[in-house]
Amino acid sequence: METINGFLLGLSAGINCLIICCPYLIPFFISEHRNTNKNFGLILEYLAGRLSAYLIIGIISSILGLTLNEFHLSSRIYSFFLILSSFILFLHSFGLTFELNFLNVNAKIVTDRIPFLTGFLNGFNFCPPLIAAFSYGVSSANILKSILFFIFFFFGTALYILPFIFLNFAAKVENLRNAGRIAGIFVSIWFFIQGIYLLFKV
Amino acid sequence: MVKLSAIKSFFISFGIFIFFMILFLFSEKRGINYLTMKVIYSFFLGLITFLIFFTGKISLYRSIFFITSAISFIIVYKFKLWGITGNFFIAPQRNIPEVPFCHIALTSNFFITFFDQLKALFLYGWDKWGFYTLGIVYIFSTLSIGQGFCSWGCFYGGIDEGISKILKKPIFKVKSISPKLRDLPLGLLIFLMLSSLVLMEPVFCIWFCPLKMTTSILNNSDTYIYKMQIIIFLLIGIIFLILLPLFIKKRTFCSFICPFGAFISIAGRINPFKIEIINDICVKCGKCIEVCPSFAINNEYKVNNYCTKCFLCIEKCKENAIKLTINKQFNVYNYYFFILSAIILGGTISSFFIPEALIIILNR
Ligand code: SF4
Repeated sequence: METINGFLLGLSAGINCLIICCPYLIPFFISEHRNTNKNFGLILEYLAGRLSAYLIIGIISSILGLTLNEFHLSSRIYSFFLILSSFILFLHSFGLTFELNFLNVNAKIVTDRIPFLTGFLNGFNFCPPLIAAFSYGVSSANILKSILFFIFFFFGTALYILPFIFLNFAAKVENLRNAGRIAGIFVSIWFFIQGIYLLFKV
Repeated sequence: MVKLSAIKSFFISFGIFIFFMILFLFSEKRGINYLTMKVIYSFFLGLITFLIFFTGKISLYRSIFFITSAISFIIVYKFKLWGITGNFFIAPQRNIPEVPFCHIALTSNFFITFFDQLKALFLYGWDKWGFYTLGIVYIFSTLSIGQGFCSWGCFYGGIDEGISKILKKPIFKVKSISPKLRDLPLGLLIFLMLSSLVLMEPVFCIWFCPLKMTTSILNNSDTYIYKMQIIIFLLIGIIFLILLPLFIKKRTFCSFICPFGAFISIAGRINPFKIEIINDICVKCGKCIEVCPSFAINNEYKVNNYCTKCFLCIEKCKENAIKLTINKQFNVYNYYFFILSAIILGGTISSFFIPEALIIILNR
């Protein structure tokens, strides 16, 4: 039952995941031309990052037996993750746009490790379906069941993220690659401002 | 260059005049005043066509048409705003949809609408469809003359073009810029589409669009955010729509901000009309790079996808090395096809406000 429920909730939540992930994934995938296999690998890394975040939420929810509303720090935690992921995207996009090297390491090598981290940080976004999943985790009061539920919730949402692999077609166009990098800079500034705003609003 | 005899020019322009006359006779239902103005407007379009073909000065007469269109647009919508709110600049309490379906808003709304339409498809039913019918009209117009829309059809473009023509010589000479900088509006477009999707509001219209100076300001209940919006869009307007065009004589809003221009630079790639520099004839004097208002010619004398087909470089090139091609082939008929398509498209769009502006002016 956990598997079906988790998967269905994931499917219905996926469109929200898409909206949350688009601003990170579209600039990231457009900004460099890679082949489809490489993109597939990067998406898997991103999804693995998100799965780890879900598992951590699942475990915490079971252990604490708290709802997210009782979890007062949630917005503050999210704002922290938002600021962190905006930094990562900024380093990636800025580095690529101006062909910079960070700490003598080529920006490209550093930023290719980014998807896992970004996925992990984005996984903590407390959107309504995640809150629903969280409360289910709490009500199940069983760590194994809760983890199973979150894994299938993840599979449901992952279906929406997979098509990003094919953005490599857009990345073939040089103007779009440049534009992807510039968009990444804008998105990171925007998320940074939002993160700061959220932090002080709480 | 295209230059025809008086008789040929007359027949072509008469065709344009008749085309618009028939269009207006069947479509204008608001009475004799409007019809008369539309007759005058048809004559104006015919005259512009005649002058373009007879003198060969495409850019000059295009510019006159284009700037007239922008000024008329401002007159009509400012007066409508005045009529509704009693205020020329800001509609503080209400959202006044006094602007026609706006092609610049189209881009930043794209994902929101796509999402809404998807929901409509699955949840609400077919009656919610609408955006795509209008969108397709825009896309067709884009495909017919490509990015030429920015110099012939856009009723905002004439504003920075008009301001860039005020001074005879630029105060600061900016010949060319980094190609990466020219991709800025495309980057902004991607950002705007994504942020609009996340926030479920047209971010460009609310936060950045300086063209609100010609219409009204969208409202926001949070006064702090409202003030921020005003500061941002005014700064963009003053810098990119007024000061930079005035000082460097380039269309800086269109070149560095406008997301719609960026959108059609991608969509317009499949358009067969291209401005090309013939390498064997070109003496690399740099004149075309200097005069191009859209930073569309790079230092290697290649015309990029951001060319708005204003024809200024063709007119200024003393060696006659710049041509309008269709699928890389040059033929003098290319000019006829392009100019006639452009006048029909631009003329139809401007028919919504040039005749009405005439009425407003004459009634005052
Ligand atoms: S390349 Fe020529 S036709 Fe194109 S925008 Fe520049 S001046 Fe106008």
